Amino acid sequence: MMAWRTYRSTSARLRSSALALWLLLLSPVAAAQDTLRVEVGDTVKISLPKKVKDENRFFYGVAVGADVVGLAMKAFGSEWSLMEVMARVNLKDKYFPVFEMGLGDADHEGNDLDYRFRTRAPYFRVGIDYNFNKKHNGNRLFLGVRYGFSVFNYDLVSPTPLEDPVWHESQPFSHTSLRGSAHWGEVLLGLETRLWRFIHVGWDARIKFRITQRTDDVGPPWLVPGFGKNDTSGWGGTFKILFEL
Amino acid sequence: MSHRFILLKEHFTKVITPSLTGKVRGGSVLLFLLFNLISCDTYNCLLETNVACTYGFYATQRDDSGALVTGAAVAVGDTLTITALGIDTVLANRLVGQSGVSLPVSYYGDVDSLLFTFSGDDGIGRDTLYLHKENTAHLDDPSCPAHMWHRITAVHTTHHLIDTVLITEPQINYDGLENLQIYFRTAQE
Repeated sequence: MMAWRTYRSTSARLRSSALALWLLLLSPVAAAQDTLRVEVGDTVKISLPKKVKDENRFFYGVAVGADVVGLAMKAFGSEWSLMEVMARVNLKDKYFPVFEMGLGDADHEGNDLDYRFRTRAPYFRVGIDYNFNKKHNGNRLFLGVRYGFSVFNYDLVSPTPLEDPVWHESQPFSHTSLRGSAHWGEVLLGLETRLWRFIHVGWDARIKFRITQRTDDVGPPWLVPGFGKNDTSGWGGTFKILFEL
Repeated sequence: MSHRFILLKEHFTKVITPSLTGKVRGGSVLLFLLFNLISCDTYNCLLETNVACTYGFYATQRDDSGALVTGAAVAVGDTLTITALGIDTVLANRLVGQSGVSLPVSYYGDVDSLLFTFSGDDGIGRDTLYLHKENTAHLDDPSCPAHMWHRITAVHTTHHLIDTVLITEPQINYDGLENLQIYFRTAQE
């Protein structure tokens, strides 16, 4: 049994040194060295430095996090917010399968008119990020894709009745619990860095595009939970704090 | 706010490795700007939002088997006045030479009763048309006015001058499509 001196060199040097050790084992007679002496019949256990093993491993761990933009928007009284948390797996420090879920919340009043849109519903996204930074230093440059969906209820209401200008009848404009659903895709570019030990921060910008959407005949939702302002495409982003476990 | 900029500084000093400087740094700045510009909120309301039931006028022609031959548009020679019964409001006044007309639809009634009055050299003729429908409120955006859309479920009429009424497009909305074809009796009949 022998101790292995700590290396600080590159992986190439490590590989050549390891090969040299194996040669020594196969040729006991050539084992005369200053710091290494192996006799016939000795049992030698060789282990590569921990850092090298770590960098080549498949599973790097998991991370959980939250988007602080949505929380900040909610805290500052924005009329809409997307509050979400996420979990992801780190494979080879290169591939990051991601699951995101959140709560879309909106209470929007139209300009100059009394019509109001309200919703509060969950949304879900799955996808994967690819890290372009080959260095395993906790800093990452991501390109990612997402598939998102949400099934939600929404309200379109007004305190002012809608009056018929010819027949002069009016009824309240109050349409609640309208059903909607949406499916969309996202492509994102993001940055992330290690802030302290297992705490990471990162942000990304996303382009979103509608795949399908089903809404009530009364009218489309002003906001789709998880997608943002309702349109065939749009922009979004997150500013995340993550805990790598 | 200052905390956010500290975090951003961390990005540009730590994440952008020496091999990723240049284009990536420029792209990162662009993304940051886009990220902060996404809060723009605009919606352009539709300009053409007139909801009306469109009627086309046709002359009744029948083939040898007695089936109605569709599509023979005609301009009404007499003076036509259309009144909404129940509220006694004139919806179309003294139309002459018209081959069609668009009329408002009641927001909430299940049936609109319309009186068609024809006045000409031969005197006055009247028909009453009953438009059965379903009503749905519609709002494109909270910043735009709401409207009522309708779906025609049935049409009944008297037959003094009107021979047949066909529903060609049951949905009454912004599209402006012809919803009903009214076939008038002709002199040959």
